[in-house]
Amino acid sequence: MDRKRYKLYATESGWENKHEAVMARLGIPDGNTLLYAKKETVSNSESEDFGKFIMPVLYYGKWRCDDQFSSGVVDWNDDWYHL
Amino acid sequence: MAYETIEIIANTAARPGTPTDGMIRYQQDIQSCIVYDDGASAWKVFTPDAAPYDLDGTTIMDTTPLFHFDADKFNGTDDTGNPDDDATVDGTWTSRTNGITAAQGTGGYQPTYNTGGANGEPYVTFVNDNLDVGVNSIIPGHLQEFTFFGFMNRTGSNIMFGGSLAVDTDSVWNTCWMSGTTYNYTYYPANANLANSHPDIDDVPAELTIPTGGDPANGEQGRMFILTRDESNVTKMFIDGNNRNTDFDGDDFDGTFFAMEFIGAVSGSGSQFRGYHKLYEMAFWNSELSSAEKNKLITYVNSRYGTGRDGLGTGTFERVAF
Repeated sequence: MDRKRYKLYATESGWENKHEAVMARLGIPDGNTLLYAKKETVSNSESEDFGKFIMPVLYYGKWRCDDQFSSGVVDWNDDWYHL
Repeated sequence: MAYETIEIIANTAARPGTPTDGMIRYQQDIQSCIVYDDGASAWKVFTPDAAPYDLDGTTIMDTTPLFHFDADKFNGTDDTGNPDDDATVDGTWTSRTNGITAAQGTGGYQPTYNTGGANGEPYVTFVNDNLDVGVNSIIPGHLQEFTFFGFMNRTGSNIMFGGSLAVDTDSVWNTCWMSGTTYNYTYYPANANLANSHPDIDDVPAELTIPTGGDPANGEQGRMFILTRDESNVTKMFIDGNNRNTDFDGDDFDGTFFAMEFIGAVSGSGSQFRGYHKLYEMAFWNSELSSAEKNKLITYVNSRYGTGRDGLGTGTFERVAF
């Protein structure tokens, strides 16, 4: 199992609602940790997921939260970005 | 004047809060004695002409790096502050010199601390993670020569970013990276819309590549990176002691300051710029180290990390004439 996977959200509000829920579930802010994730989008216009909002899903460590994502979790896709 | 017992003081922040006139302390990170001047309400630092740096109790470098992030001295002093194995790095990694710190305030991008790596040494695991150091942190006035040293290895076939050195706020040196099958480094010059400029490694040795569709184990070997830039802007990249790039004539730095901006990323602004690798240590000198000094690093790395870092994982670093 990968230690980190991702879920894509079609809308900004969808991402924000989930992020808020995850923050509350994990007790963030906590110490030096101010956020769970940063709002990033698929920037490759040739990707079928172009413009979608990316949420990391951690399967390990202090901020494990895979139980907050019941479906739609995928592996990282290099096509999301052009370097 | 009363001189109190000389003690080991870790860094500037650890200086006594209520010093008395004439109080003398030894400050470990700058390897100098400091004396408190009550009249000036300041600590006086007497810096020697040469600033030797003790890497491991045996290997003494002629000059002290501007930063040295060592996973086995996470608090910058000793191993008492090292996180537990597999712990999320939600605190601060402090350089052994100059009190420079690195941290990540976003939980989803915090790396993991691990023990039991090469020769039992600890390391920090990055999985699309990075640590922020900050462009205002270090190296004022430095714009030319440098030496970057790191011991790390990437994981799987993902991209590895050693770290980024910022020139002002709009251009970066990506210290070393691995993408696809080869290692390289990149200079994104200022005033060029971040168009990248980097050499191609034309003669990539087989042990430094991952065959297409092949076992990525070769790429996962721990590697020693030394990246140097001389006073004429010529940059060379040494991997496992061997020079892999020569005479890459880069541009002048056109800026007012130079700083380590990120560890494990070339930019903190997107997941595409964060790396997948294991980092044991990294250091930066404000000069081009001599051949003798670079060979000291080889001796040190061979001693600390043991065997198993060549392409087949069976040998020690080759000592070469730089």
